[in-house]
Amino acid sequence: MEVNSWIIFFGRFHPLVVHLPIGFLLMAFIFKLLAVYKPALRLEGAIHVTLLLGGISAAIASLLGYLLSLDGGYDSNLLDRHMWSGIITTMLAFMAYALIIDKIKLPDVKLERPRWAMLIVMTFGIMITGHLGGSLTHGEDYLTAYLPFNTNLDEQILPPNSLEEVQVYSHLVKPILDKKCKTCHRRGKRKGELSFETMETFRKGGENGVVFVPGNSSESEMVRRTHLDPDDDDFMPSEGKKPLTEKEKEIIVWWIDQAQASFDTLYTKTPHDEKMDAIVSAILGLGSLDNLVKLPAIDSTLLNELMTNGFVIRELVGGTNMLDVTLPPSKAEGRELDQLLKGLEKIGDNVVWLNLSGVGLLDNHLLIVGAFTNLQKLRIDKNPITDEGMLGLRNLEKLTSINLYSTRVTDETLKVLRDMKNLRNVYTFNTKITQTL
Amino acid sequence: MGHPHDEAFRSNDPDLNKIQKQLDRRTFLTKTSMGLGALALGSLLGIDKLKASASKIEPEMFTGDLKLPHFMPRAKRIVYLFQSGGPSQLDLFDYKPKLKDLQGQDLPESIRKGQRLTGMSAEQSTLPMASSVFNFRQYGQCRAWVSDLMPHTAEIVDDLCFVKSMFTEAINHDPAITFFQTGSQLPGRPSIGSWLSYGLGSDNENLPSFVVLVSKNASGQPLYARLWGNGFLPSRHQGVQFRSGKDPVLFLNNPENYDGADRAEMLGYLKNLNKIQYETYGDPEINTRISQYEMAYRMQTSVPEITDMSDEPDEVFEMYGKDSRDPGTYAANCLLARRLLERDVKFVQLYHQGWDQHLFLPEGITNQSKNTDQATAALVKDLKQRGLLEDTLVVWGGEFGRTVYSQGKLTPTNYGRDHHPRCFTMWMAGAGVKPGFTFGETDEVGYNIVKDPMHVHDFQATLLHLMGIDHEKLVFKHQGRRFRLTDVHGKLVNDILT
Repeated sequence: MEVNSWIIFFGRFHPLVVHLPIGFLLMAFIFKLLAVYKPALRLEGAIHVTLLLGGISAAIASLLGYLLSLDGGYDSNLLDRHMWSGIITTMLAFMAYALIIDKIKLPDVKLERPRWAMLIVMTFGIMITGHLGGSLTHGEDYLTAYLPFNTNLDEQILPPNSLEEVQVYSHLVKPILDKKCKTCHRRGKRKGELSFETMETFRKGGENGVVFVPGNSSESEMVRRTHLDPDDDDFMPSEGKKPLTEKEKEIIVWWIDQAQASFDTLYTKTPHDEKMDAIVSAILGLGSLDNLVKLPAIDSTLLNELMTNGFVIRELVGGTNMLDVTLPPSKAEGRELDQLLKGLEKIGDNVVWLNLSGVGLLDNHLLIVGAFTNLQKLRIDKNPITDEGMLGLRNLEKLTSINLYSTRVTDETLKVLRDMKNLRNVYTFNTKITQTL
Repeated sequence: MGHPHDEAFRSNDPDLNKIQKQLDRRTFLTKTSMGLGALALGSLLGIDKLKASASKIEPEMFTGDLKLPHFMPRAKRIVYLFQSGGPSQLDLFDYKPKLKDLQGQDLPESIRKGQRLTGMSAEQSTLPMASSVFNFRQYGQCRAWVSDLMPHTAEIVDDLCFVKSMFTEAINHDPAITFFQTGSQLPGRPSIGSWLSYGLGSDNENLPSFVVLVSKNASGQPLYARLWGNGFLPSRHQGVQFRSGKDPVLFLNNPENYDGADRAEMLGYLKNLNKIQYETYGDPEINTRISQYEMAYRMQTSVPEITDMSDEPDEVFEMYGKDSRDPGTYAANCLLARRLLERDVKFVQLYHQGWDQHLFLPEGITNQSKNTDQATAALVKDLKQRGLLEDTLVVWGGEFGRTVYSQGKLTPTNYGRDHHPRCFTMWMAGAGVKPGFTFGETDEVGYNIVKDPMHVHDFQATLLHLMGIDHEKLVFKHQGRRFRLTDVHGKLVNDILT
């Protein structure tokens, strides 16, 4: 429906004007209450004025509200209820006014009771109308969404702990829609007949048809609209609302092109793209692939014992129990390295970074280290280690970096290392290794 | 407790009880019974700080309580090669061939856009643009441009991540350096190294986690100890300066003719005295003092060991250049930095002064480059071959850049450049930053940034991120306000991260 722009212009004053009757009428009610307890305040005149002003501003607000509704895009059922409760409240206000200034003479009835009744009903009317209006603008669950314990477990999606757990729609796309699109395109408002409330309505699209074409971002309306010049009439989000960030745009485009606009695919099932890894990790606050894991809790007395024994231990990321462990050479001097490492074995699963540089490590010690299967970075440089010992590290599949500087390993060792598929950095300066990995 | 009459009203929290005891009326009167002198002593000792920071001392090694790092760190340590004075990006890394054609022409209004100039050249009648007298060549697989001043750095460009679009708000040296090191142009905030020490603690109990080295073979704009100061953080987080010569750390050695056998015993008693003092006043700074005495004692053996370079083979000295045999020079400091990093010192801050070429730039910058280039590159190479670049971040840069126009008379062989905060070049290498990468771009005369600006606070935020810290979450409450290194600014520059 084409609506005269003047109508919309005035209509948009509704949210502004509507607060006047709310204030006036509530004030009238409060004055009435006060007058009972503090007659000396002589509030009768004030009650007259606030009721009259409240009634007039309510009438104006109703009219403006009607104009605004002509613009469309609201849930018609909810809108009807809001409109009628608004009109009724306005009428109640005038009736209350009439009763209070004694314009209505009721036969054989004392007027004070009807006055109270009218004022109380009117106050309820304001609250109901206000709530319905709020539901129209902010959504029906606006008030209760953050009510404690009101967690709808079906809808609640747990944040991912690693890239493996990331779901393309729920973790990447939906948060963008929720944040940037759903203020207008949702149940109850449905601007342009479009709602992102459910996957079904999202798929269905709006008055201009579907908003995305799987595999073809350039044909997708939601991509076109969000990528326009912000001054363009078609630009979304419209009316100065916060535009999508570059990363959010990239995610939407990627989701349509690379994830075929899927609603249930896992991120790891999509074509691998390092740039996306970085964006996804950054947006969801994850480390890069494989890096962040939650490990079992550690007994703190055990930790204290190890630290007293000379190990420097710190948590790699607070709360993950991933440990970065260093044995300073000065602490290893003159000690039974076997005993020290056996102690470390008790928390072996938690050791993610390990630095045993220059502690006098021998081949047989590597058997202990080789059982720390969560190891990602290992420094065993400046130790008299040979190829034979390196065989003990075969099972360290998560290893990304190993420092073999100044050890006695040779090219034989590369055979072991080549099988570690995550290994990216190998430091071999001052060894007999001649080739690269 | 000695207050049977109000026992019931007191909290059961033992810490709170202790503090209350230290502050209650009777104790207060007892302690001030010697008159106002004692009261003054109380304030000298900082009893007022009790209220502000009665929190328990953060754990030294395992960071359980602070829940740090916030995310997976890329770097465990940082070496920051601060080139103090403002090296000319236009003569080192930011190649502007177009300036050859514009040589001597006045800086056009289309570029300056009415921007304010710094005090020293604002009154000049002309602002003649000066092309660099030095040749630029492309190096490495990344084809980065480097001038002939830095032949050694040119060899390692594939390990470097250049940021050509740094900018700052400060226009003069001291505020600009203070800004870089502490996040505020005004003195008084903790420096980067102090924040890291506070947030992440120490990895080596025998050495400070924050060490400062200042080149002796350079001079120029002064440096102040507050650049490595702890600000309002507990003072054991301040940087410790290692000097050249026989006393690398001042006041550490035993007095002459004193064999030191009973040193430990003496320190033990001192510790007991300090403990009594702490019990009485509860000032956490006393704990700091205790831990510093203990650190100083351990450093009596660890520092001579680390500064004694006799265990370095000849080829290492050759790599860093012949200066590296002369303790206190930039080259020797670079080598010492590597030794400190090997022992897990968290933050090593080098300063090399003298990059402030307002006049006679060609001569001055040649000299500066000669003194630093080889050792800088050697440090990166050395860290790389030892596998330390894996988790060590190297930062090279000054406090601002220099102008495209000449300060003073422009001749074919001589010119000077004034301070220029609007754009300058820095580079980083190692843990977590993209190798062989250039971020940001300046316009064709190198006056303004045209792409991807990176503010000092952005740099600081990114640096903390590499250490696993969210710059918005590392805060310290002081005088009622929660302070951060990046103040209320700074955004992570993701594009330079691997």
